[in-house]
Amino acid sequence: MPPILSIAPGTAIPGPWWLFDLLLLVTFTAHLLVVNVALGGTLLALLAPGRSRDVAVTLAKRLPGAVAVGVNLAIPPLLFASALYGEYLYTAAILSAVPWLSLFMVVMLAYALLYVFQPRAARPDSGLAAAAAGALLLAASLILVNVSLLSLRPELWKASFSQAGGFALAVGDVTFVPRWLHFVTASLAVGGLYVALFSRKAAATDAAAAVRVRTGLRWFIFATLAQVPIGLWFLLSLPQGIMERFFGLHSETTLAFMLGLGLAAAALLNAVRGRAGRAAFFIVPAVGCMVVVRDLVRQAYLAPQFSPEALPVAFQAGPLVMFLACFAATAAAVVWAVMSYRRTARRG
Amino acid sequence: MEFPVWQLASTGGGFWIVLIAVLHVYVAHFAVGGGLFLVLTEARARKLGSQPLMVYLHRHTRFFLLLTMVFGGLSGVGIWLTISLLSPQATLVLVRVFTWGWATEWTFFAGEIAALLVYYYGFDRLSPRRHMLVGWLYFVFAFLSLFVVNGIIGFMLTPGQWPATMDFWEGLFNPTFWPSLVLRFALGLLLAGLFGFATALGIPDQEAREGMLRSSCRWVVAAAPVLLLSGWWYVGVLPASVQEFFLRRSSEMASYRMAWPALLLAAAAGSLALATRLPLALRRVLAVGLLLVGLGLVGAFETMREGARKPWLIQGMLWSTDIRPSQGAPYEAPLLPRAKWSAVKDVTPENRLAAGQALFTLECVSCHSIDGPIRDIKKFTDRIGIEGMEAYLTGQGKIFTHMPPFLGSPAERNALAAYVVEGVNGHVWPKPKQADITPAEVAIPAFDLENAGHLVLAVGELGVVAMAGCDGSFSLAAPGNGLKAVVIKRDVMPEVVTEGATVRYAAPDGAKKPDAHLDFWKYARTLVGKDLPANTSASGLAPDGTMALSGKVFTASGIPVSPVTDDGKVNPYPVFTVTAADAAGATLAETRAVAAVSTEMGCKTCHGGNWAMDEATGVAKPTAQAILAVHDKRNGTKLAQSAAAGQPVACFGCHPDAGPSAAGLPGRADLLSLSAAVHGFHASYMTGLGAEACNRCHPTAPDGVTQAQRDNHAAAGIGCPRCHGFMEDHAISLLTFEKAAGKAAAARLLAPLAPRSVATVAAVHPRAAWTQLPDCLTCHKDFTRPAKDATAFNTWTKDAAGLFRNRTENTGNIPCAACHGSPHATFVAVNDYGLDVNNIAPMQYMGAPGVIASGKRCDVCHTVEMEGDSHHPNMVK
Repeated sequence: MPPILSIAPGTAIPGPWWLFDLLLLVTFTAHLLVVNVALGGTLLALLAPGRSRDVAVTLAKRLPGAVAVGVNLAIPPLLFASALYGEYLYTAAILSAVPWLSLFMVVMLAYALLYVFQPRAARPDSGLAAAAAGALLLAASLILVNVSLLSLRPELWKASFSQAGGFALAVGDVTFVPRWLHFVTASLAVGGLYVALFSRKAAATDAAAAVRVRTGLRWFIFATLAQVPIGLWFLLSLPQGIMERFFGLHSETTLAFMLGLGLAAAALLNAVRGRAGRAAFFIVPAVGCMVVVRDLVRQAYLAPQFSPEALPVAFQAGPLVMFLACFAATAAAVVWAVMSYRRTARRG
Repeated sequence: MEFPVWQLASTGGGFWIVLIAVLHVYVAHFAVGGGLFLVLTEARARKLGSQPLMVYLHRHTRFFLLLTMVFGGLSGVGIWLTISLLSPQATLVLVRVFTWGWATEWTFFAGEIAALLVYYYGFDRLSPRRHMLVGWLYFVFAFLSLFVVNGIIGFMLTPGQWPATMDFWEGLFNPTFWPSLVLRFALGLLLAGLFGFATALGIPDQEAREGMLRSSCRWVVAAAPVLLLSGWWYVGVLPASVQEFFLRRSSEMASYRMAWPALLLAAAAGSLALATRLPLALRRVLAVGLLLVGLGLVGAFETMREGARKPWLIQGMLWSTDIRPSQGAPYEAPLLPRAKWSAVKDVTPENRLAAGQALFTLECVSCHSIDGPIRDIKKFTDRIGIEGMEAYLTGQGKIFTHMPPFLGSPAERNALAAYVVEGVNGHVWPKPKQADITPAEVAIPAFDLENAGHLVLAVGELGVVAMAGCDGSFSLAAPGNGLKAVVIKRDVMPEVVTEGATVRYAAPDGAKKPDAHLDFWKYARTLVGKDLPANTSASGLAPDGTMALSGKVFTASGIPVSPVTDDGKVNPYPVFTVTAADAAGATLAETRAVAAVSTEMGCKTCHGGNWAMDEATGVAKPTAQAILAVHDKRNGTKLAQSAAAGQPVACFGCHPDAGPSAAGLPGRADLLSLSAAVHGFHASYMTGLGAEACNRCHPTAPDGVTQAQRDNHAAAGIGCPRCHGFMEDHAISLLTFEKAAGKAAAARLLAPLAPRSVATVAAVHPRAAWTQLPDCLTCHKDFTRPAKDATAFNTWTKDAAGLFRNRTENTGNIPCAACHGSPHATFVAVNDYGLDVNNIAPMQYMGAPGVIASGKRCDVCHTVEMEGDSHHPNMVK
């Protein structure tokens, strides 16, 4: 380090930690919802293609875009998580380097396969492309769960490092399987809800769309109900000190957890009543609450050795203003472009 | 240090960066230029009302979308993943310093995706005006994305004022921001044209196809000169040190510098060819070739940018090993205990290779592979042993700063060297063994102490002349040595005989044909600028001849001598016969003297190869070629090429050498003296050593085939550093003299050196090579026995006249060396060749080894007993 530097480069974050944490929570929620659509939708196209492969065809049109947006929305949470938890995240990634580096290739291949699947979705023999894409996206979810879990468990690092080839896995951790099942089941639920959502307007006049709505909601309901035992399993597999935070030991965790459960229940109730829009209205904040819970659990895992609050701060307002201004301008432009398209789409 | 290291030795970390980064940049830049290509092509198609063009554009957009979004988008994420695995600290710096920059870039990337999807899916739905607007929106987002990333990448090479201000804007708009932006944008335009060819060739309509091909050609041809000029601009704003490395010091960069304009020319020429009416099949092949040229341009640019950054990941802040200088300090302290993730914490004889491997992981694997495609460590080290490898590590990052300095203790350095040599290259170097030497049998000439009227004292001019013996590749010294003789008429008051006397010298049998054993004469024309008759030196002397009178001393400077005799055996000590005769030709006196020469230079230790002869001496051709290759690589010379063409050069032909073995060549006044250049360069690689550093290159190793340091100093355990200073001191004394003479290279070689015998560089007295040497009288004050810890370092003779080999005793008649022996071979001299060969004069005249006249043996010259110190003070002690 040149003596001129007052602090080692890369140690300070350029803003208050809570701001990054807030952005992490918001963008990760968005990312989760969209990748759940991509993964769940792909699995649904495979598992429930519908009569005349109607579900598969309508999903196939949307899946590549969902992957593209999902990947794009992965960037900000990865960025903000790196800024706050880089030391842990990168260590875990290095220990599990081979699967971690393969992540983008796995998703790239899945993305390409979904483009292959798109024009062929109506053909009964097109399932192979969807199956391969689904398998790859599931593999991606395993990779992400593995590294996320490793980043929370420094006590696993030394043992993992003895392998040294970048193949460290956290599958031995008792939370691994329920954690992964929790996310995959959620993707089936959100995927189902997405099918119902994009079909609901046409359902009034189109019998096939009405069937799609029912199918989608059914998947949402059953997958969400499946979360009861899976979620319980996940909860009980957590270290006791952390689990107890869900039940009063830590008020923020308890509050976010209970609120999330309540919103999910509301979404479920609306889905049972066939109200896809309202179910979506509740499920989005429910996912947000679960993301908050996840964040609090991460902080509990890393405490007391690490807290993002302890990171030195080198705040500069200008770059933040630049980001916010560019975000607003880009969002406005994107909304204009998308609305322009949607208007023409409505016109037919 | 703080993060684990992914064990990637099989490929080296660099491979993945190169693979993923180059492919990503290729597509990502196409995504920018291609965006402009889309809207301008659409505008053209709509203006022309060309349906075939619109159909083409739709198809091209789908290709563009699939390539840039599927591959470009994901490989961009791939770069993040890759750098966080290979350089986590550097990634953290970029993430935390530029969090808002990355976040801003993300918004543009999101805008790109949305705009491109709407552009593609809205092709037939949006109104032309709106569709065009969406296309422009895509291009603006793509350009802004490049705008931001360009600044962050530039920060790694040229952080500018950021380290002082830590200001985001200083980092983003760093010195290379604008040239880099122009260059990258132009690259995007060129790639847009190249991809335009690839897709336009599929247009069925001939008119539309040819029009698109011509249009694509314009994109490439217009972008190529911009790329050339912006590349020039880019290099121009680099800091001077980076520029110096990029333009002159780095030989690796030379090929890329050449490739850049060549590839641009190829792209432009190929594009013009594609726009002509060549057969379609041929044009398709050409289009693929041009895409590869484009990939080559991206690869060359990125490699040059990465290369110019060496040894840093982020200039001045993080080395390519992902270690901060502050983490590495102190550099000589053990590293393993400081490395959080290293399983090995200290070096023991049992774990030496494991410790070496741990150090390799920490300090090498980020760039070097083992058997991998990029920077395979074996290619760089396969020819050398542990000693040489240690030297490389010692000098790493000092003179040539493309690699960071080695961090670690001497034991760790040895462990890493052992791991590379034994563990990686699989070489178990045999331990050097004592040279097999047969003691020389010398017939000591007779001397009649009672009746002899004259005596002649003769000595070799130098104790030994060190040569490389690879004259077919280069010549370090003209082969040969000199003899000096003084003829004395014995009397009460003896007289030096000069008038009417003739002194002849004659090489021993078997040593009269040095040209049979050395290539010097074969290449004399290019080595010394003129053809030389066989066995004749540049000064015109032959193995047998007459000595010239110079003052009171007969001299023969530059007698051709080879260390190999006609029977093929190594003999560094050929015994010459020296005969003095009167005007009538009658012999006055006769003696013998050694004119020692040696080719025992251990260049092979660091430059690879083996001894040229008998596993004991001579620089072999592969070693010599390797030396020339290094010289060429670092100095831009073409010595290897000229040697291969049969035109080797003499080192002293360019580097001035004031010694007696330079064949009278003056050298180039602007270059460092040969001694300063050689010592100055190698000192950085041999720090912390004692006399063993000298022994690597000079034929003075106690177990070598020459054992040239054979005088009573050696016998008393006084090594070279006591008089000359340690290697670092020695080099500094020579370099400071050259620096004062205004030679630029001296400062560069001096920079990494720290003296060991005195506190500061300024405390080392400058000296001119060969004319200013340690003065014997510094230790031998008033010719007395010195103190045990006396050192002659840093007190130099004023000039050549003060040198031991040129001085005389008080009467001015007898050279010091005539009685004391040659430099480094003063009597009593001893080595494995035996007592006689090293002490011929005392054995002849006194019957016992010792300084002539020592032990009150004044009778060697005087016919009566003498008292007093007439030759020098304290001589009777």
